[in-house]
Amino acid sequence: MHFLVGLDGDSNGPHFTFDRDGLTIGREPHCEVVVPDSAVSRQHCRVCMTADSATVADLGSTNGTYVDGTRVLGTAPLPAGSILQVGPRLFRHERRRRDEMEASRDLDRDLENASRYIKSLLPPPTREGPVWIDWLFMPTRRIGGDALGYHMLSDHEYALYLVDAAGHGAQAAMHGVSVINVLRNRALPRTDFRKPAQVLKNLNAMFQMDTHGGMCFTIWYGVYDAADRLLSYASAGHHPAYLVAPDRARAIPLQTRNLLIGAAPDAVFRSQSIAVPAGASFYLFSDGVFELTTRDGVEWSLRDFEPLLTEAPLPGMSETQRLYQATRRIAGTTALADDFSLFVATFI
Amino acid sequence: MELETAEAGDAATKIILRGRLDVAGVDRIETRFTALSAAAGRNTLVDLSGVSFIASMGIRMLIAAARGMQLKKRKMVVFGAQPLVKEVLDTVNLSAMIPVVADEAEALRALTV
Repeated sequence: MHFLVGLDGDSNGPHFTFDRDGLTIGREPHCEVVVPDSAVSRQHCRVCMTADSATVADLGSTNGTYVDGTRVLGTAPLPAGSILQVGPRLFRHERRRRDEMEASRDLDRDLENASRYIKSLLPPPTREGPVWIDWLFMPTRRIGGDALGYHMLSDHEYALYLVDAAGHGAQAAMHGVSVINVLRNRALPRTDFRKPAQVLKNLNAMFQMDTHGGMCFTIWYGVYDAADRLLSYASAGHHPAYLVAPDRARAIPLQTRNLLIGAAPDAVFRSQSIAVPAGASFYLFSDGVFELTTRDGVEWSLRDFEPLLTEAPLPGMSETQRLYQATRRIAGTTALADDFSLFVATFI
Repeated sequence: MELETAEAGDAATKIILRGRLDVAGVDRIETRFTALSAAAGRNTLVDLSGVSFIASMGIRMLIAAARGMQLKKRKMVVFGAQPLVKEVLDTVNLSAMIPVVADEAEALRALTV
């Protein structure tokens, strides 16, 4: 059986079966697959099963039909596993037996349940006290290894952290969650959790690759002391977090160059500190936030994403939503290649 | 992702990688990469000049192979990374474990350090 599987945000969308009669994708209500978006033509393209696989024919659309990023001229093959793009919507062509499709749906449900579990570990956003916290966690369909969190170490000290385990799937997710649970429950022996370098050192001792299925991870860990307005932090293999002053003139990168966790048992970890002005904003995010491909096929890096941090907040919209929507506009799609994990704090 | 090998001096094997070192790319070559880097008695140079993208699994593959070589008192050196790939290698501080240098000549010199 041939299917087009809608790829939408953090989960698989609907499945559309097609055969030799094919199906039409477009904006008009009578199309078999309706995409109600102004970037989609009334009758945009048609997908048909062939003797060997499938084809897609562009029906003279204004904005084009794309297969794996290549514009379709006339009719083109649509191999199993390829990604069809119609306007902002993505579909994956799958060819499965009926029992395989049902097993795949079961797996998708399990991965969605795993995503829900990871989200459930996060304390809710808050706008009380000296630190206002918001976060956005959008796991990719295949679920990645991102996990983030925060908790109070005392009545004036806050621990903030983001973990990114290598790879995707259940193994990476389990690894990330293991680390987060160790941090949340302060389950590292002989560790002062107010000292970031010590936390990383002892995480490294606990999570060496050869005793954890060859897995390693990057981490950013920081402790904000509201009493003296000091943020101490250490990162291991992780790109910087950023501190943006109230005037939003500059985004200060916060990073210490330490080896990622699990790679070497004798690794040394260093931390740094920075004074935090009242009203400053703090941004901590995974590489899935900025590692995207633009509509023009340009690969973004952190350097391309940085300017978005100092842009003015939008009235009525949270910073997490502002940045999420900005990156999706640039990528031209809501589908995620990697987990989107973003943590924003305001130090009152 | 493609993998080729070549000789690099008397005491080193050069592994040339081309393509994307993402999950699919690593899956394709990891077994062969690990076996080549574990070959008895040889250091390994890894040519990244043809690698356009490296994900966490690619980093993990390099580290795992380098750890295995270190146990046998042999070295791995990585060279030729393109700017975006080099940025990732710098972010994870890979050079704390595996020398990351500009070109093959420098990589051969790094083996003697």
